[in-house]
Amino acid sequence: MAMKTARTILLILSIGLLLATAYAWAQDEGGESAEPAPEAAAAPAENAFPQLLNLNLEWVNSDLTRLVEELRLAKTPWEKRDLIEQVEYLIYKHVEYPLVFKQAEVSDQRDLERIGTTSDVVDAGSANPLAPLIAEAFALYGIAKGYEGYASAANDQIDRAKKIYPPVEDLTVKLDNFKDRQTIKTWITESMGNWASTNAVRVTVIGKSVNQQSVDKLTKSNLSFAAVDHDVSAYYLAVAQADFLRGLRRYIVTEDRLTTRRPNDFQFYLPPGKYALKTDVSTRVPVEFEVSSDPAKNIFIVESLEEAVTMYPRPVVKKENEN
Amino acid sequence: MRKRIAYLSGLALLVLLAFGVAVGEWTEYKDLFMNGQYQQVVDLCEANKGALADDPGAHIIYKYCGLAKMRLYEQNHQSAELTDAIGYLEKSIAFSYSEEASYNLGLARMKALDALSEADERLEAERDAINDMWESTRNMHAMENFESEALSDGMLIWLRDFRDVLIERVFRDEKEQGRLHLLAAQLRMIADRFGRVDPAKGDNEVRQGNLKVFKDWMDELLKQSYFDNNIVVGMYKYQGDRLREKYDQTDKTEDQFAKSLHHYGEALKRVKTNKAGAVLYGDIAYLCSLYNSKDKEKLVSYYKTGFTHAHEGLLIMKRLNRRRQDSTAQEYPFEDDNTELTAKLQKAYGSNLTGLCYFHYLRKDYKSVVSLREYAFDTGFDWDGKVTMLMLIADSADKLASQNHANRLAFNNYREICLFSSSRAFKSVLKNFKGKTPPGSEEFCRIYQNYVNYLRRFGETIEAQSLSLQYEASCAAVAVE
Repeated sequence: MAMKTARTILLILSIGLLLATAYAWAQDEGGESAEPAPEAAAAPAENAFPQLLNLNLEWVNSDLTRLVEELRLAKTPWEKRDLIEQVEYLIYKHVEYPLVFKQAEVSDQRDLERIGTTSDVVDAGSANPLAPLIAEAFALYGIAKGYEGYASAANDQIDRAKKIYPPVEDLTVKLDNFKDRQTIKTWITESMGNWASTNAVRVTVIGKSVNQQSVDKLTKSNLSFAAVDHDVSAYYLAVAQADFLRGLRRYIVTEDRLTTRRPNDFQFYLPPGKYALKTDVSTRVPVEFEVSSDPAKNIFIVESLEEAVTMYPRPVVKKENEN
Repeated sequence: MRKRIAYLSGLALLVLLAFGVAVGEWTEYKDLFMNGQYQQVVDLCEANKGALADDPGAHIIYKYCGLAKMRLYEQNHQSAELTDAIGYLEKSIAFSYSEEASYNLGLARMKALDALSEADERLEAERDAINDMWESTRNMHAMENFESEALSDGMLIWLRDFRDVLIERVFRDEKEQGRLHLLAAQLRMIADRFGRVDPAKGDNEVRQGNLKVFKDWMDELLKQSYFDNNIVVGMYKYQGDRLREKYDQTDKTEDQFAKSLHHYGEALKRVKTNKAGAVLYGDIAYLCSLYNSKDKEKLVSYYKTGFTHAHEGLLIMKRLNRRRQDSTAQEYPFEDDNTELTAKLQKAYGSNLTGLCYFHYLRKDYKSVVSLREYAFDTGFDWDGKVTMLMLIADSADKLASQNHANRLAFNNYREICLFSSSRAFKSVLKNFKGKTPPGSEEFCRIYQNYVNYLRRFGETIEAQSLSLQYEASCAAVAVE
């Protein structure tokens, strides 16, 4: 009898669960499809790709130009910094991340599906119709860095643009007041005076076994660079700090963010000399490193170290026939 | 068996009802929200707080809870409601991203910025909020296939609100020079991308009208972002213009008038270039000339404000026109045309001055009317109502002359003013006929008649006789009030 009662209860529960699941499914279906936001929006046409991507890039470049337009009016380095950070945000969000990297994080999967991705553009070079737009974006990023006063970073970005689309300097962009168009070459030439005044050199950092938890704990308030035995402007140190933190967060290969194309290196820029990387989260740092005037010698490995990170020069591996 | 099935079905239904009714369907929240019953939405959200996360439509329910909280915040300005709104919207996005939730989250975060006391923290949060809103807007634009010529109504509303919060930040971040550059660039991004709408592409007249207004707003936004080479000045002017558009010359919208005047005033306090100064003087003068109220004191006060600002503006334009004869260089992009601006200032000058004169006259304050004569005599330009004003001055001087009959000095002074003013009025109407014999129009005959009467009254009989010979015949048949 007890057995029979138990079976009946189980049956009731199963049916209830089944009905509830069906109900929930129906709710979900109805909910998703009947909830346009904020008004009934047209779905992209099936053949919209890559036209949408193309248009998105056109608009992103337009946005970048508006930022650079203000950048040339900005007077102090800190004013420029505010704009550069926005340029970097746009470049990463709309150019580097969805286009260069093959695999997006889950949170951005919708953008990826809607707008698309062309990770092959970098390989295809100028043959890809999107290449000029991507190259233009990187060139604008380079020009922005030039106005910020980082000649080396500016050249790096323009070289990056040239690799994707060699005649990048011939492209024209809208300038002030949306009225005039000017070639990128003219723009670069015009602002060369600013670029020549800087002496910050590229420092390349390669990620190795960096723990995501360590990275997440690092913030602007607990990680900093300091010059050792020489004076460096606070601005250079602040920019290096921002580049370093962004680089770590975005480019380090971690287990839950594995991608096929995501590079595990990134750059920041500092004048030659000795520096300390300080974090408040570990007693085993600061670490000291030296920036050489030759960027080829400034290659460092960054690794997780308990709750912080450490950085050391990449070991020089000699070939067998070398002494 | 049948009994058992009925029993089972009943139980299953109970389970189903319990499941469904526990938190309510998301449509229930939506319907309440759409009907403007924000407090009821919030009450429902609070009552079901513990169970919301288990609902399959949780992301939608959380969204409406957040939106309802935001609406209540807009009504009551209680910061706790804004904090709750942010919490609900964050939860909505955590369950499933939607542009609407993300956009409104950015909007709510923007509104909450001023509660942050640390400048660095505030600026960081501000940038995040800007990016939330811009990303959502861009996503929506992508969903509309980056259409440039026609935008959905939803997009128009979002962009209007986004524009407004950015402009509000421009005012609040005045001391943060770096941020002002970013805000200027962001406002231009909106104007550039969405100013290309083609009103003719609207599905119906209402949509076409909406698109037209929106396009004008975007065109102006771009233009004013460069005004005086200062985004703060430009945005004060821009918002002043928008508020002026809302003033319909009734008491009901008088608040918009006052706000518009305040915005122009704030812009004027900060202005650096001469041209922008003249534009703002013109804006204030024009706005004041629109003012309408039963309160005569206020009317007189605003006409006075309008007139003095127009006067200042015209003085600037005189200097600029002298200086710039050989130069076409602009002080800032999208400058107003000198000729058009001068005409606007002249019109506002005349309109305010005539209004001021008229209300002094109605109050029988003849001395004040007469004291305005130099502004009417020496302008070197005409406006609608100038002749009327000259005649009011003449009439006031005539009355003052009568009152001062015993004081010869004062009498002669008012006599001169009366004759000079009426002579100017007469010559002004005569000028309209360019040397030809004027037809017997009512206006001409009225002014002629008044002038001749003043001449006779003050003993200038020869001149009066001479004019009578020329014009009396043509005016004899015209009834003059």
